[in-house]
Order: sequence, then C-alpha cells, then structure tokens
Amino acid sequence: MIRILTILIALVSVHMQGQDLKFGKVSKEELLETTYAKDTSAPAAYLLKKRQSYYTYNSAIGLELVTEVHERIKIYNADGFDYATKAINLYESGASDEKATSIKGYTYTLEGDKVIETKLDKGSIFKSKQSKNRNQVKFTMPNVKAGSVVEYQYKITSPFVQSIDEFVFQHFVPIKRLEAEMRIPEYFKFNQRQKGFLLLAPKVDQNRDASLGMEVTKVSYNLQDIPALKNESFVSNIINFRSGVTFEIKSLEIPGSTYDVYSKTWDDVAKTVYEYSSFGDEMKKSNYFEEELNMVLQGASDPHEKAKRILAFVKEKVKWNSFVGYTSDEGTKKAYKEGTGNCADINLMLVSMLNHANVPAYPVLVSTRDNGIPLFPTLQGYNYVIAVSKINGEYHLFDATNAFSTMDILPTRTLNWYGRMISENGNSEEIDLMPKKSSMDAITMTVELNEDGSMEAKCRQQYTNHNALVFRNRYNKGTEESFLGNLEKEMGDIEISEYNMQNNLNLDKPIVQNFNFYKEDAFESISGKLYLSPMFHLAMGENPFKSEKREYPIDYGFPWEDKYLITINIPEGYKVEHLPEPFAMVLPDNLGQFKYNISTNQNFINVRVEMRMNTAIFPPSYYLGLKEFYRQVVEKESEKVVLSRI
Amino acid sequence: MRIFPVCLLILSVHFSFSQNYSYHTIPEELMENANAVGRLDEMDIRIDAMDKMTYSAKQVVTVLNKSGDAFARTRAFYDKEKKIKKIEAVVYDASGNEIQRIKRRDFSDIAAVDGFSLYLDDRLLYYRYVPVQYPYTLEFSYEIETSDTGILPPWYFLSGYGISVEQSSYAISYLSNDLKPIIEEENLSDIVFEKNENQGTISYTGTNIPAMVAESLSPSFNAICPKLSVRLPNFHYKGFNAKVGNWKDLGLWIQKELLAGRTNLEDATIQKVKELVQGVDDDIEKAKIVYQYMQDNTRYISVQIGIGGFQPISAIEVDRVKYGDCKGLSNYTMALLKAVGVESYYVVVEAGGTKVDFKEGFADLSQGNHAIVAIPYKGEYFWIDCTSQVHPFGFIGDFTDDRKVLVVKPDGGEIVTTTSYLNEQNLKKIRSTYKILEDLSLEAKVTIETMGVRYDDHFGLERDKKEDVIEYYKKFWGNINGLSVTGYSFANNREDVVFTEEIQLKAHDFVSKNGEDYLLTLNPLDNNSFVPPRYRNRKQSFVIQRGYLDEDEFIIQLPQNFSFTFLPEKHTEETRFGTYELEVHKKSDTELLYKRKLLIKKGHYPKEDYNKYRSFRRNVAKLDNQKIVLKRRDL
Repeated sequence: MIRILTILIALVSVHMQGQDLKFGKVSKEELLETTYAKDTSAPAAYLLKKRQSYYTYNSAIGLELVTEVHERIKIYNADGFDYATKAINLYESGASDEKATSIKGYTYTLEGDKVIETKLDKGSIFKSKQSKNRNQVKFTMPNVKAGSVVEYQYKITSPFVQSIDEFVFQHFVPIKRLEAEMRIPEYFKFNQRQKGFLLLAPKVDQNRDASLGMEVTKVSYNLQDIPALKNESFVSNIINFRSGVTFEIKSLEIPGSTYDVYSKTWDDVAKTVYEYSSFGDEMKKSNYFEEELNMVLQGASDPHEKAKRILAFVKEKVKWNSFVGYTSDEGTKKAYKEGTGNCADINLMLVSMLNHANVPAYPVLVSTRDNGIPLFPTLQGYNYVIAVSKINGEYHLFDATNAFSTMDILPTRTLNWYGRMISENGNSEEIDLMPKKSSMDAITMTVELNEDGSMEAKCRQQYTNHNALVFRNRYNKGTEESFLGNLEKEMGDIEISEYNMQNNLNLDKPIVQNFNFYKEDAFESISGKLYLSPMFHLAMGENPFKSEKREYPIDYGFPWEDKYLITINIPEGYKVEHLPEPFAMVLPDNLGQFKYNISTNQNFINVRVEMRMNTAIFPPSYYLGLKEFYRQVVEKESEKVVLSRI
Repeated sequence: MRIFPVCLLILSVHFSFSQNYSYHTIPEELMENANAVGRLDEMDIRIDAMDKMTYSAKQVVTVLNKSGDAFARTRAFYDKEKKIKKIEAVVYDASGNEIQRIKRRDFSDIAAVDGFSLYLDDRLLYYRYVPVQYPYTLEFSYEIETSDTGILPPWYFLSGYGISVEQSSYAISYLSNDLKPIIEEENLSDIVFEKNENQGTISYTGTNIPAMVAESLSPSFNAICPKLSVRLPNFHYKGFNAKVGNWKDLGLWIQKELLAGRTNLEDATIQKVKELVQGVDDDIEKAKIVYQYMQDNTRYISVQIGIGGFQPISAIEVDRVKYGDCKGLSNYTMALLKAVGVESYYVVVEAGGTKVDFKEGFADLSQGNHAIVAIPYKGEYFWIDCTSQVHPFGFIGDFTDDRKVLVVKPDGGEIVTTTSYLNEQNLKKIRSTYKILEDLSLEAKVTIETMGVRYDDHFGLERDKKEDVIEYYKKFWGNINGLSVTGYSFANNREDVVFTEEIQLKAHDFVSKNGEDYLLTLNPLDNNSFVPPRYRNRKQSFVIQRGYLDEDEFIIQLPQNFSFTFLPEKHTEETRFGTYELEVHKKSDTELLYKRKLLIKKGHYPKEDYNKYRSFRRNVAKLDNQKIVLKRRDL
C-alpha cells in the first residue's frame, strides 16, 4: 500500500530566494489582498509559518529543547476568524514542564490608506491547567476584521529533550511560505520521517554551535504555496495524510557515557520496545495466572482450541479501560487481579498465556486508526498492541480488549495497514492487519403484498465475521427494545414481530436473526397496475459518493459481501407484465462485483442480488470507477417490476 | 505526540455486603425501558446565610448496560466561590458487594470545556470508572460549599430518558425566614411524591418513578420531566447582593450592578458613528447603519471569568479588541446606539432551536444562556443578535424567535415575547421548467425562494465554497440519482429577508423504463418524504414549533415522441395540522403544469392526534412521490 502513496506525491515549489519576512514588517500588498491567488475559496492563509527548534545547554538547568514560532496569517473573510486564535499545548510531568514565553503579537488592519497596528494585550493571554499533565496557553488577536493580517511569535522551552513535536506542514488553509529548521547536536542520533503527499527536500548542513560548543546538524525546509488539506468522507483519519516531518531521537552518544539506542530500523524499534520492562518483562510473568489457566485448559490439546479458551478467559478476566499504549500501565499481574487494564496489560497477558500453553505467540505493535499510519520506524508511530500466534504454520491475530472479538476478527480500531510483530530476541517482522476474510450480510426474505400497498415479510438475516462483531457491539449496548426500535427505523419504519436472535454469545457461529415485519407504503399502484421495487427497502437509494474527485483512499475497514434472496408472492388476480433485466458488473482487477438476477414462475418472483468488495481499501485512483459502479447499482436497484391484472 | 502516562490508582479494596444495592431487589416495573435505575438520588441543601450555602448529594445508580453508563456520573464542578468539601464514590457488583472505593485523590482535576469559549474559569473533579461487568452499582457522593446563592441547582426527579428511580429526595433547610426559598413544581402530577414542610425545612420524596422514553416531536425533556426550580429571593452572587421579588427587581439589579457605566465609549468612536448616521433621522434607519458597522468590525469570542458569566465586558474594551461574547457585543452595540441617540435595551434569552420561555412568575438568574438587544420603535420591538456578522437587521431566525425573554429596562425587567416566524411566513417557493430529453435524462432550471426561518436555513449557501454548494444540492436532491449541477447563482435581499437561488441541473436516466412503461416522478424537486416514526403506544404529546409553507410550480416538458396516459386527479387534503394541495394540468400533448402546496401549522397537539398527523404525512410522502406512466408514440 505504500506504493500507492508514493504515486500521489504532489510537487510543491521549493522556496529558493526572496527577502526575509521579518516580524512586524507587514506590507501593504499583504493587507490589500482580498483572496489567496492559488485557492480563491480559502478563508485565510498562512503568509508565513516559521519554526526553529534547537538545543541549549546551561550548567544549572542542563539541556533544553527550544522551539521558536513565528506565524503571519491573512484573514480573508469571517470564516477565517478562527485562525486569529492560537492554542499552545504544553506538557508537564512531575516537577518538569514546558513553558511558553516571549509571546508577542500584532494585528494589522487597513483603514482607508492607513495601516492600524493593534497589540496583543498580555491580559488577553490565558494560561490554564487542562489536566495533570497538560497546560494550555491560548490567545486571540485583537481588532480582527476581514482583510486583517495577524502576526505573532512565541518560544517554547522544554526539558523533555527527546520529545520533538511534529513539524506540521499543512493546514486546512493554504500556506504561502513555510520555513522550518531543526538543529540537533552531534551526540544525538536521530531519525527524520516525512508524511503526507508533499514532496519535501530538506537542506542539511553541519555547523558548529558556539553556545553548545559542539557540532550540530541543521535540517531546514523552505517551501512555498502548500495547498490546503481537504477533508473528505470515508477517510479513516485525515491527519494520516497531513504533510509534516517528525524527528525522533534514536540514540544518545555522549562521550564517556553509555550508548542508548532509542530507535533506528524496525528491528531497533522492536528491540527497544522489547527491552522496556513494562513490555518484555510483562510477557515473561506467568506465576500469577498459572493455576487458574491450567484449569481452563484442562482437556484441551488442539492449539486452536487452546487459543480459543485462552482468549475467552482473558476477556472474561480483564476488561479494557479504553486506554491505549503498547506498554503495561500497572502491570499484567495487577490488571489480572483488579479486572481492568489498558490494551497492553490485556494483550501482553494474552501472549504470555498462549506461550504458557505452548501455543507460540508474539506481540504485534499496531497504530490505531486514530493514531495514523506508521510508515516509518518510530517508537511514537505505534500506540497499541495485539497478539499473534502461529498455529499450524499460519499466523492468526487476537485482541482481548473487546468482548466479541475472535481469532482474526479484530475491533475496527486495529484495522490499520501493517503492524510489527516482535519476537523474543527483538527481531521483528511486518504483519498485514487488513482482514482478508470477507464479512457477510445475507438476507432471505419472503414477501406478501397487500391490497392497501403494504407488505408483510418473513426475514432471516445472517452476519459473519466483522459484520457479526459490529452487530454484537450494537446489540449488547442497550436494551433489546431500543435495539429493535432502531432496527425498525433503519429499515424504513417497519413493524417487527416475532423477533429472535441466535448465537449472540456463541462467537464461533454467525449471528442469525429471524423476524417478521410489516411495512406500509411498500409499492405503488398507478392506473390499475402495481409497480414495485423488487428489493423494497433493501435497495440502495442514494449514491454514497457525491464528490467529483477524491484525494485519499476509500476505506471500508474489511472486505464484505451482501447477499439478498427475495421471494415475492404474486397477488391473486395479477400477472407479471415486466421484470427488470438481469445485470452484472465487476470493478477493475475484480476488486468488487455486483450481480442482479430476477426470474418468475406463475406464483413467485425470485430476486437474487449479490454485491461484494474484495478488498478493504481502495486507492483514490479507483474513486471515479467506484462512484460510477454505485451509480449503476442505485439505478438497477430502483428498477421496477410491473404487475398487471389478469 | 507524547505518551501521557495514565495512572489508575486503585486503592485497598474492602469487601463488605450491602443488601440495599443488590440488583435483584429492583422492582420489575422500574426495569422497563431502563438502561439504568436510580436507587437513591438524594440532595440536601442548607442555607446558613445569604452568602453561605452547603449542599450534599448522594447518587446511587445501578447501571444495566453500556447505554446506562452515562447516568453513573462521577464529576463535580467548582470555581472560585464554590468549594468541593468532600467527594467519593463506591462501586458495587450485581449482588451489592463492594468492589471498589474511589477517594478524592483518585479524581482528576481538570479545566471545564464548553467547546466554544476561549477561556473559562470553571473546573471539575472527575473520575472515569471503567465498568468490568453489567449490571453494576455506583454510589457517588459529594459535598459543596459556596458563597453563591444566586443559582440553586434545580432538582430533576429523572435525569434523562432511559433511567427509572426508586427514590428521589430533595430537602432544603434555611436558618431564617428571609432565607426561605421559593420552589416551583413542574410536572409533578406525573409521579408519586410526598412533600413535607416544617419550620426551616422543605422536603420532597418521589418513589418508584418509571423511565421515560424519547419520542420524536415530543416537547423537550426539560419541558416534560418532573422537576423543581428553586430560588432565593435574597441572594448573593460572585460578590454582589440582591433582593429579587419579581422580574422587575431582577432587571433593576442587572441594570444597576452589571450594566451601569459599561456603555461609555472613547470620543473618537462616538464621533465616528455619528458621522456614519449623518443626515439620517429615523431611529431604525440609524440602528441599521450602526448594526452593520458592528457586524463589519467585530467577531464573537467567549471568555467567561467570575461574574463575567453575567456581566458584559465594557464597550471601551470591545471597541479596542473588536471582539466579545454575546453580552459584550450586545452592550457594545447598545453603546454605539446610545452615541447616535437611539434607545435600546439589553435582553437575556434562552437561545436554541427549541423554544424555551422565561418563567413569568419565577425570577432567577439560572434562566437564559444568551444576550441580544431590543430596540423600541413606535410601540414595538426590533430584536438584533449582535453575535452574527451575517444576519439581516431585525432578523433573529430560529435561535431566539418566539419566546419569552427578559428585557432589561432602566426602570426594571420585563418579560416580552420575541418576533415569531410561523406557518406561511416560513415560505419556500420552488419554480422550475424541467425538460425530459429523448435519452430519458432530466434538464432543469430551478428557482428557490426562501423567507422566515427557511431563509435562515438557506442563506448560508452564499458563503460556501463551490464544491460544498454542489455537494449540498446533491444531498438536497438526494432522491435524484446521478444528479449534476451545471450552474447556480444567489441573490440575498437583506432588506426584505428573502434569499433566491437559481440552479441549473441535469440527471441522466431520470425516467425509468420498465417494459413498455416509462415512469416519470412528477415532483423530483420538492419531494418531502418525512414521515414521523411509528409508535405502538405513544406516550407524549407532540409539537410543531414553527410550521412552514411550500409552494411549488413546475412546467414539465416531454420529448415529442412521448405521450402520457393518466394524470392524477386534483387532490386537496385539509387537516388540523395543515393542508396539502396538488394539481396537474395538461398544457399540451407534451407539456404539463404541476402545482403543489404544503402547509404545516404550528401547534401543540395531544398524543391521540399523533397517528392522524402521521397518516397525513404518509399521504404527503406518497403523493410527492407520485409517478405517471409515459408511452412512446413512435413504437
């Protein structure tokens, strides 16, 4: 999938020369501008976005990471007013905290021919303690009107020298000019990772930093005319696609001190993670569960059976507290005792139990959908861990944080490209997280048509794999009454009776629901003939894809298949005058297909419709094809059967 | 990104047995429609002085499933005047065994966030409990001491839909008669309760209150739930004392303590607005110019500190920074109006799409969440919302319309109803000539005119990006498959508050071929498919808050080689909820005139009428979707 991303890299002109945009030197041209030339719909634009990060050393305080920010923003209209407000998030841990200082800002507004400067008042800068570890400094610029230019600068001093905030190169409004610089002393070995669709070519220099008294590597970016980030539907997380650069300190080599590896290659990442005591050690502990687990495993010899029992045991024993992370919070032993834990507590426990039962298992580092796609080897790229087990030569994935997750059927949050499996010696290997098994939604329905335009039907619906997981999560959330109420609404205000559902807690089996329903206004009668959509409310009424073009992949989460089998009893006194034509189509590379079959004998009309997507993710280049595919589906499914009197 | 270490300190666990909180003792009737059951909801308020109040609360909730988690709250708000003296929670399993005890130090201390303010000084203590099983019972108790007696927590016998309550008790005691609270009971006839009033104490206890179910179109939960509103006639708030018998008094207090002296402006600004209105005599014409000036020069930013939750920042300050919240911008506009000799009043209102009235006989500070301005003119009021940069003068849309509000006049407060937009006033008129081409596609020119709250729904399009506008129309006409918009233009008449859209659109395969029959949907352009959901047993009355009128006229042109068979007959349906009229005329062999009118009337209707309303809407939906059969003449 990385291949797809690289094709789409857009070229951004690299800023080569031009004078410095000095703080306070806002030109009249900038104030006179009424729209951004390259994107006239932009409500605001960064005329300059500048950031420099570097290290300072002071024998009293030690090493500090300093970040200087200077931003100049043009506000074109009222929709851009939000860009006149800035929030700076600061981290605090124990006695150490990040500080924002030297905040200075001005708003420039043209009144007639005169440039009016309004200073940001110190009293209008608010500092608040958001939580134990988070502080925030927030301000909004004064005297902002359509046409104003706001400009501010500030400095963040951080004692957390290893944590360098991402350099963000793209916003929801364009950036006219971007300057970014990172200076790293020779003792730090670092990784530099780019993301997004912009082609970034940094300039790298070696300099001597007089104040530090050592060599520094200076990485700088000079970019121009960065387009705005566009939000689109069916994107798993837009931040995945935002351009930027992250720097990660992978090792610290101070002469005379020990050599610390943080991360470098995937194997280094794996090794580093493995060596965290809250990761590796947690998997080696087994004494706390041995006794109980042995009872659970009694009589099981098949590895599949063992894995199944262990997964059920962990799910029963420890509930997820909704916190992510790949390291254990309080320790697996404590989580086991208390009955709750974060995802590492739960899944590392799962790994050690599987190993204890001689089912070889390893942890897999995962980046959840909210966290973005880990394209490059960094520690921060991952935020979650699941388990993988090799059974009969095949890898299978497990996640015990969700009550209804089973082998290879994992919660949607984990379905995010690739994960990294870590084995004992810190070796690692890539694991595809995207489900290969298709999830089915199969409906068998028998329909009676009533004189008054209503219908009655018997319906049997089956969900497998991820569809079943999604269903179980929904069904078990509230009362059955409210579930049925929602189901009735979703299916076009039907009235359900004799509802029964099988296998809710029997996770090996598909979900099966059986019910009868009654629906008003199910078909039309025009001058003595009946016109009916043979799929009734199951027909797709609207094309979900409406935009003319698309820049990001279309993400279904998992491959799927809908199969509808509908039998319509022809009402007495009527005959079939017209049936829609059978129809079939496939997407390029057989990534999806649609089949529509309809036939009749004297008493029945039989409809069989199948639609499937064979892959979880489509690259954006398939968008127009997919949109057209759906248009034809909507059109076909809206076709009518015509019944006339005999 | 940083990894925030999360500490879940779980303290020594004591096992004890509490018969009371076993899930098995919940009466059967309280389980119906319930995601949670309040076992005990207790509030005990003590008023020791005008500036000293203590209240302690204990909430024991048995949560039956995940949707019930929201009812097991473990959070308490505080600020400079309000101190949390005690806070604690205990978790029990289904049988009532204690499984976890949460102490004060386990709660996180975080800043309150309202989603729109730049800064708020409210904070809260909060604990996030992770359920390990269902059902579970959570007991949460806290005690608060405050010098603010201006806002007393109202008492809800039910805290929302989907929770039933075994016992709900509210008690308030006061040290002397001048501290005696005034209590207004609302919807108590629906529940079983006991009220006791002794010297110095008033108490209420409700028992076995069944869960309420949310129903479409019902009045808001606030309007139907059993509750008590409580206020002190003599109170203290953020450093200010007040004696309030009625709205007149409260208005005077606001005028004197919170507004007086805040409308001063720099001379230069006064000069500037005077110049703007030079040569204009009429007060409303002056006000329009001033409102436009304010809209062009300011923006909405909310900062709430201390009494600043009620007091506007001064006009001089707003004039300097050119931003403010609703109070600050209203006060600033009043200052500008004053500078040009136009009288105006500060208005407190409960804003939102749902109309909420100020309670006429119950004057307290807790009502209202927004400020606007009223300009008296020839015996009526013009209302303006100063937080909008785009609304026309005097048009307040569905945010503050048609509700009782507090107008603060120099001689005291007065309850007045704001402008309403009802029924025919909320007009949407669609005119179109649409052609069916030989390839069965549709080509249409459409004009949409909107007024009243319909204007409010549509006029924002003017400021949207092209791709958003096109996407909007694709959703607006989601009933037309394969729609493409080939052009559009807008006209915004701010003077008369009318918005006009001109759209050109196309859709291929619009007419569907079914055998020899071609089906044409007569009204693709104003297809109202809304049918209120069906209830087996409707419990609540229903409300149509504003009503509206649709008026449509389409000329439909068919290709020469097509003809139509039957045309639908003229249809008129009159109900107490509104009327529907539909006519189709043959203009020539290939041209039809389609006329449609749908009027929905504002009203509050009894639950018995719900099914009648529903069947009216079903008919409308059916008729709006009516098709005729076309035949090819050349075959």
